[in-house]
Amino acid sequence: MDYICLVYVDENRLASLPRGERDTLLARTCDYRRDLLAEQHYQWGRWLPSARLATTLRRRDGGLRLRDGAAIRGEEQLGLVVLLRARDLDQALTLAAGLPLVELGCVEVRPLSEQAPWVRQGDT
Amino acid sequence: MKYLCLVYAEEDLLHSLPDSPEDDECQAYADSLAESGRMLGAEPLEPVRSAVTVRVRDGKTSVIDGPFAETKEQLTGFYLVDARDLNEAIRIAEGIPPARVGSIEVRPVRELQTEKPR
Amino acid sequence: MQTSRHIEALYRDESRRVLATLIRLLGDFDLAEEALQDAFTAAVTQWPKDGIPDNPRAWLVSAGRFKAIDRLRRRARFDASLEELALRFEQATEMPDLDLSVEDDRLRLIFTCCHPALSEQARVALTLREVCDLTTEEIASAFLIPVPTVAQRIVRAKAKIRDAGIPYRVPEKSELAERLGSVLQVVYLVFNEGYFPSSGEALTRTDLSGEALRLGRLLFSLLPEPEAGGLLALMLLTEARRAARTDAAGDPVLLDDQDRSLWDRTLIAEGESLVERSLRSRRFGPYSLQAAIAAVHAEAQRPEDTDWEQIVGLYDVLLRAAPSPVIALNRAVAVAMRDGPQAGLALIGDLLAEGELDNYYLAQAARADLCRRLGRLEEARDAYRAALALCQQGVQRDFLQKRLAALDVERGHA
Repeated sequence: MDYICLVYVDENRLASLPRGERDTLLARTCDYRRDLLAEQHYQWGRWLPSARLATTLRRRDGGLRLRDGAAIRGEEQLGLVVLLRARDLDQALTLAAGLPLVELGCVEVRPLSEQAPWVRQGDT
Repeated sequence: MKYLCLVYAEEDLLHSLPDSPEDDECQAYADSLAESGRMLGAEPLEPVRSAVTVRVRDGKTSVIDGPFAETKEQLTGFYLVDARDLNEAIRIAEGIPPARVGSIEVRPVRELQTEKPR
Repeated sequence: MQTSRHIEALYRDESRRVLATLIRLLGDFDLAEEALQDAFTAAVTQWPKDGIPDNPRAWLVSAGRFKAIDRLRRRARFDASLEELALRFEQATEMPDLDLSVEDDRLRLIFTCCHPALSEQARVALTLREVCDLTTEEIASAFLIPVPTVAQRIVRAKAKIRDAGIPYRVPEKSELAERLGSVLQVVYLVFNEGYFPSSGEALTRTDLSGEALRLGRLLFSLLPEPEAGGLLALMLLTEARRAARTDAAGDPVLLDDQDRSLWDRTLIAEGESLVERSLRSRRFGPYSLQAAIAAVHAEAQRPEDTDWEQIVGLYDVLLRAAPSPVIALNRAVAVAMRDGPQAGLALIGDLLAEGELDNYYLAQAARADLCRRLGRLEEARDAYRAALALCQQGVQRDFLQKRLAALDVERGHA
């Protein structure tokens, strides 16, 4: 089964990490990804840089409304999205919890919809 | 540039408002985007009641039933697109049917392999 | 020295244009700003010897570009990715016709700084910095916010433009009207902050209003759209009353009590002409309508000559074009002038009942004035007190205190 892993972190906390620690986080994540890929768990993933780079839009009354920032405002913001394939939810949770970034926040795991994907990602 | 269009909507209302998207509208829009070559992937998500959240502190794992936070709007799906710039990404996001009843967040994204997370 | 004064004048007149073109060529605000400084430094060094070039602007753009490439090369020793960038700029052979593209470049700069994906605060700070060439300190002092706050807004705005992929482009025709709205909003915000500041002691901050007017003129000259003309007209007609707006003590004077001989008739004429032009186009919007209302006021030689019927009619159209509780309030005040205080009071009562204007002190002030005119002095006092509770601006507060005190005098004589 396929699961989506949404990793939420406090951006300010991430930004205040010393450069060395951030680089280590990156390296560990790359290593982890490689391991997951080898075991065919990893489907694809993307880093989401700062929520400050986000733009949220709504269409109402036929007009477009744009706003600077993420759709959800809070202490923790989405920082990483990964699609994993696992035997079951328990395994998905174990695998997701192993993502290094989770140490700074949390990860929400959800099964992908039972409907077929609108379009399945081609790349990893 | 690659952008992630995160689709947020109030789950309870998503399908019951006058402007709500029809069942096949989202698939149709995804298909048209795929044809234009700008679509890299898109997934609908299961509702938050099927979500489980994990926190790891000092090596200890705690598992909570539910999403990471209670929010007015929930993440219901996403589109990963390739666009020339933010303007084009916004035009793409504008056309996602739930934009009429929810919010679409557009964010540039980076691949895991080579880039820094910053 | 003759040359150095010439260069100073050139900086005043041309630096914004040169910057806009450099931003387009180099694709980066900071790089372009450094290039601009380098270019003028080079001019100061070389022109006394070589003479002033025939096309100074082209010389400066060219010099700036080469200096930028040099800088990137030097930095590439520490960061290899910059070498590629330097190469790309160097290889861009075509130097486009500067005279044709420079106004495009200025428009590009304005639209980019006012992009709706940026927060309003970011748009204002970035526009004042990049388009109007105000320093961070000047912006901070104009808005009464700390300098680091302004600096951070500008840094983050530039980062978002670069990292989120906001393109340096004039919007397509199909999006122009909507995107123009974003620009006009910034200009109007700056003008209002200068004319009617939200806090602080001075009633008007002349420098900001002046910047807004310059910006409005520039925008209209580059893009003669009806609403751009409408906003410029609105600002001109408002600015025209500046001399009459405060008395010798610096206290505000209401429109009805202003010495109309102090109104600037040249600005009024310019504003009126712009309004006419805009309304004739039929593509007018809220700014043009507000300007039209201001024009009707300006036409009246004395307050009692004011054509309130026309004003109410314009408010009706404005309310349809841009429904808002504040506009509804202004319409209610106009209705009171046309039909008597009772009619206006009823409308204001409805608005307050809907909870729309709870935090808007002018709603209470308007109510107070109408109650006073009807002789309902207790209600007037309550309303003035409510207005004071909501108002932060020093001079406006003094004004409300005076009106409140005047009521007591009236009551004493009743």
